[in-house]
Amino acid sequence: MPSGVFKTSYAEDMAFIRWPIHRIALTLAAIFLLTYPFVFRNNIYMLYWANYIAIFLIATLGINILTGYAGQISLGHGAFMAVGAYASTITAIKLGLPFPLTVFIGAISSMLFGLIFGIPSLKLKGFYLAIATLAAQYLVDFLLVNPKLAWLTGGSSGLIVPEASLMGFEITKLSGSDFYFYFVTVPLAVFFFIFAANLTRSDVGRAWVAIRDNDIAAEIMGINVFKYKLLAFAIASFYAGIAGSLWAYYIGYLTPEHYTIALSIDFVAMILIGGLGRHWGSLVGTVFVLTLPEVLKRVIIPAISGFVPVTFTAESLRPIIFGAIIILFLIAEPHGIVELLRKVKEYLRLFPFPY
Amino acid sequence: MTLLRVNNVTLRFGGVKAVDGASFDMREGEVLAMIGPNGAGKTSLLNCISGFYRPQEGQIFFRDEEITRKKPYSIAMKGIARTFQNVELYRGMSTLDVIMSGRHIHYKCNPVFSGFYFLKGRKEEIKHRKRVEEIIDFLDLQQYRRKIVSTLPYGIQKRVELGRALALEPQLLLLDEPMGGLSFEEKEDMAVYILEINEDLGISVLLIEHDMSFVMDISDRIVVLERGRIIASGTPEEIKNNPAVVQAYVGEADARAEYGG
Repeated sequence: MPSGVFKTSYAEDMAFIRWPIHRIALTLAAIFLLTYPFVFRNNIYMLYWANYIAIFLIATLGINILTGYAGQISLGHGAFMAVGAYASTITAIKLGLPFPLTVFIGAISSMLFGLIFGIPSLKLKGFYLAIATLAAQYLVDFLLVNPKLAWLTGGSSGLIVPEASLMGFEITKLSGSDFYFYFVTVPLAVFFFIFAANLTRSDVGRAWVAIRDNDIAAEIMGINVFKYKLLAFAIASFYAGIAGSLWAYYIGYLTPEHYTIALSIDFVAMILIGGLGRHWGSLVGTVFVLTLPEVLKRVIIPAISGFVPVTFTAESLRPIIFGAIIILFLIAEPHGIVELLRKVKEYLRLFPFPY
Repeated sequence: MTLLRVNNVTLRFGGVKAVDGASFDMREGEVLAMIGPNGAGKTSLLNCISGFYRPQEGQIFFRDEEITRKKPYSIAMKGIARTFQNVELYRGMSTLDVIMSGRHIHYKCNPVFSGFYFLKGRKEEIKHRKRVEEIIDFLDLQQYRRKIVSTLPYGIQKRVELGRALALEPQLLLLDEPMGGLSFEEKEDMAVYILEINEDLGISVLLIEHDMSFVMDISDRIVVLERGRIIASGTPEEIKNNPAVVQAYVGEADARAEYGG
């Protein structure tokens, strides 16, 4: 807390921008996000990376609300994303609905699906709930590859996603579509980030944390525990549905392989590594988990390629390194990278004094 | 006027009768103490009132409205708040947030619209924050406002828990051993808070307590439980001189002996 800053109203005390440094940081972040696509205008790889992170950030924010704030573990987030993606693609193909509407339909479908799999949370906690949500994952995997439903889902060969057009402007068709898609994904990610932050700093967020930390006390203190658990499931799967739909439109085709159990585990890894119950943790975790394979492939593997067997590829090393990192974080810093950064900040603030 | 009427409540766990046909009335505005040896069923009866346990028989009326077997959160909404024997706070929250969470039942903002903070949520937050600050001032918790509750000393945690219950603006406050585990000074503070809550805020208090000297001092009436049955009720003077109570509860003639453990 910097000295010399005095707050004279509760509104100021509860605002996002509490210290002058917040204003500076926010301005820099805005400048960064605005200039990024223009700096990398012709660098498709960097634009792709930004879109990839923005889309997955939306889903991660959702699962962080569910797991980090409300304390309900979900191993079915990949399935929630798949439901959103398929719902929006199918409505776009069969009904020819416009892009924004299909994304919304995808999100709503995913939300309803999430609500159904949130019902077991009334009785189940912890590992047991995780297994119940795992059922969602396998159910969706099974339905998507089922040949009898191939007329709808395209089976294991998948679907071609129609072009996304917004106000008569065919975003994914143009050359440099990555550049234009940036202006869809990043503003949405920012919006959902702020929305999530607003939720968690108000009464809903406190109710969720109360349920996470002590559900019996929460219920006796007037919180309808089941309603708020379901609300967490609804919002988390709504976020996943948005992310799934955007991802489908962005890559242009849809197969069940995108939304396997591995994706669900990746989401859990993102919030664990980034920091449970912190929205910045979602951002840091998403960037970390999605960038790590690229760093492996482009930097580490070439550097060690002469000394190790050829079977050491990015794909084969990724799970090993992932597992190692998750174990490392669980032991050394269970609150994730964000907590680590906070400790560094705290240390530097007091430096050179020990306390 | 009768605020709370417990009528012939029986709670069984398998073959064990934790509460056995307990009946008592509580008047509006009084401090009623429930005493009894360990395992007498005091906390079980309190849990029945707050809806955490569902008694197999009997009814509980709050302002002539039956609340037996209602969900705990709907009982809280009717104006019954409580604290717990072993502090049950939300570990990860700050003191301020814990007390704010007690305001939950008074929020009128649709949960989803809290996401659009600047439209409506902020006004609502500020309104409740003002009430919470009054409670923080009342309980002298100013210096702990931003501290995470799990890092606070036990005595302060008890006070934070009392603050959370007060944030519900209850008409009836159930306190399960408010003095348990406190030092003598903290007990004196707690006694002052309880009397102030009763006299200044006009909240009726039903409390369970083992420390006889405090019970005798602060309560208007006392109900004595033994093995799930109510064996006596009356003013502290009457209870002190009731031979059945002395026999059953203290187990010897010396009524002033503090009941330990």
